[in-house]
Amino acid sequence: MSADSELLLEVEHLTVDFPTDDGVVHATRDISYTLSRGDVLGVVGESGSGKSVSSLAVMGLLPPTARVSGSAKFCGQELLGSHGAVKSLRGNKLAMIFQDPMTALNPVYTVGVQLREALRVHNREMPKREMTERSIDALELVGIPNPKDGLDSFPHEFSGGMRQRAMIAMAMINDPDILIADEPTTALDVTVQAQILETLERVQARTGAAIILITHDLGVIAGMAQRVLVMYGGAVVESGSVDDIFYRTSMPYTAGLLGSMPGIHAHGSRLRPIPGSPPSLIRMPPGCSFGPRCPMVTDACRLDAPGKFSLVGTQTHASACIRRDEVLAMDDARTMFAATHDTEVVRD
Amino acid sequence: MLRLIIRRMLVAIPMLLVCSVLVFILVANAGDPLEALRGRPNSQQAIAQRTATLHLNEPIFQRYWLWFSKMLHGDFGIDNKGLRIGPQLWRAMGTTLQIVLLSTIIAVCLGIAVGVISAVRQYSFFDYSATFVSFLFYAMPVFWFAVLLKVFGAIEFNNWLENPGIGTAGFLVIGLLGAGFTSMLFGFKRTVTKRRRMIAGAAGFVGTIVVCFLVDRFLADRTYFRWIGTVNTTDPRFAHQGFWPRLGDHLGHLLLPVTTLAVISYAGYSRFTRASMLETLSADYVRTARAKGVSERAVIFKHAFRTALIPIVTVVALDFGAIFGGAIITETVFSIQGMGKLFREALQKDIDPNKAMAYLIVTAINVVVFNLIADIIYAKLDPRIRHE
Repeated sequence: MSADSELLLEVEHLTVDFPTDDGVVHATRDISYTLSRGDVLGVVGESGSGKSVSSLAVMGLLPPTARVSGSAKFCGQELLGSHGAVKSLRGNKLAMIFQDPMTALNPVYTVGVQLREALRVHNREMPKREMTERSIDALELVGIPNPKDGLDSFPHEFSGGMRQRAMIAMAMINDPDILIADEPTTALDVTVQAQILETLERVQARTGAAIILITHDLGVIAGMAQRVLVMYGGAVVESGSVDDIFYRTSMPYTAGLLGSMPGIHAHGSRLRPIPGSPPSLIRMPPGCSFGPRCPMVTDACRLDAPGKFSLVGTQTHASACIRRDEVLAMDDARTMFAATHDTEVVRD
Repeated sequence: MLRLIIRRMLVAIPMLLVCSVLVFILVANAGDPLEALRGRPNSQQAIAQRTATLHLNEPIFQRYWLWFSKMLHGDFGIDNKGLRIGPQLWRAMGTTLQIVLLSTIIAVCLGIAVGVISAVRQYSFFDYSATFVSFLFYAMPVFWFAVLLKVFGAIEFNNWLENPGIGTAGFLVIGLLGAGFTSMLFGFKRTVTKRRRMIAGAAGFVGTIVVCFLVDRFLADRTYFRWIGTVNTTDPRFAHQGFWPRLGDHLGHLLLPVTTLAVISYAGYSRFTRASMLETLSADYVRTARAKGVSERAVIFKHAFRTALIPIVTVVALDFGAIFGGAIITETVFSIQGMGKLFREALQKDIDPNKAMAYLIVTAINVVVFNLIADIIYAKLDPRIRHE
């Protein structure tokens, strides 16, 4: 994360709206971040917080009904709007893997066919033998045993973990600069999750690609990311290094996320869930979007003003909370949420 | 794959045996083949003769076995008039097959094409129009549609052919259709603005009117032969003419029954294709393909359509087996000497058991065979089944 490292992706004021019959869904609002070579950026938040939509927008994979504004530049090239730029970069310089490996591979083609397709789209002239070799290398890189046989297998012959590995291989086959991993471990067993994360780390160490890791699992973030964006209600509410987020929390929502995660600190501590449910993205509450669920909410939080709830802080650590200093000063910000009454921590 | 085919064929054999037993028992209890004879005076001899040919005095098991063993050799026995059923059956099958095959090909091509476009351009003007037309055809009773075609497609059209010309109303209607069509074609890309579509429509209107005018001048003061046939599949007047006139006559006769059957199947296929495509277009692997950078055309055809095809092909194969025996209404309206006619003849006042059984067993075999074909194609298209 040194200042002189190569800047790959620069996202500014990214806003995505979906017009629907019930009103406009504000999926993401005013998101800005940068990504340099070798970075691992964690994006964390609940379902519907806009974490996937913001990356799909960067990849140009949103449905045509989506209204996208703002800017996303890859090495200075604008990705949004201009359909041509993102089209040639997609799968080449920008790669993406998805949540559910069980359905992300086409069931009627072999893994080899799908790997070669990813190659051929961007290298029309490549001879078939080289394509096969590169495919075998890619499968080897992600740790699939007998990669040669793997090429002739259909996705249904692979286990979930193997399919996600194949997905990673497919994403990495063109040696991308940025890999967006959208909840890559959510649909997998815990033991397999660890293997997939390890695979991602190994792939990154080998290729030096920057990774955007989207997840709702703070444990995954703690293990892999250097920087974190915490998203709520379609906006970034806190950004900072992993240490900033975990130990110098300055946003009640982040504290709530930490408190509802089992086993990060002392063993046997109680879970502290966040009461209520995420806001409707069609009718956002006035003022701070987290206000209705926040234990520290004041009248000032409910009054809206332009820019009042945008990120404030340093380049490395910023929070959207207007009482950020008070949160930061707390010994353990998680205690602002009430603990569950059960003595035992329930894990799923 | 071969094992799967053999296994499915082995399952088909007991199914056909059960079919044959059912067909025999049902027909044996469907009515009295001697009823018409009984009412006539001095019919003792005729009754005795028919009883002997149909083995009516034998126990039912023996009758079944006599019928079944003969059928295995391709002998369907004789009908009540004493004619052999075999040749009648083959002729009827040939006629029905022509109509069913042609209509299925047309319906499948049109239905799949329209269904795919509808799904890719969901909620577009094209999609709404196609949906409207499909539901219209789907809801239309076959006999009524066939009669409408007969009146307007054949009789009125033939009258018009004797003194052709496009009148003012014709100009206007055809012009508007042309306008709609061009604006739809031109506006197929989402990016085209409304104003450009309007201009395209106007150009289409003018173009169509000009073409109409030229055609009208060409047609004026000529008279044509009443080409479209409404009865049977050939006109005996052409029996001794050359190949081309006979083919023309034959096509003129096939046109309406084929249209009737095609239009109804088309409605189903286009809806089914649309639904199947919508499902695969929103599938995760289609998103994966886009994320890989695959072009939109390849995404639609290589990924979405290839997978959507699996259920479509199955339905088409099953339908084909079913329509083959079930085009009775269409065949009746157009007086075609096909399978439907054969079946209706067998069910006259005194039932003709051998004829009815021949129809039923052939239809049953068809359904079973096309089920088998559907199974095999399904396995061929879907590796998840193939490797089971």
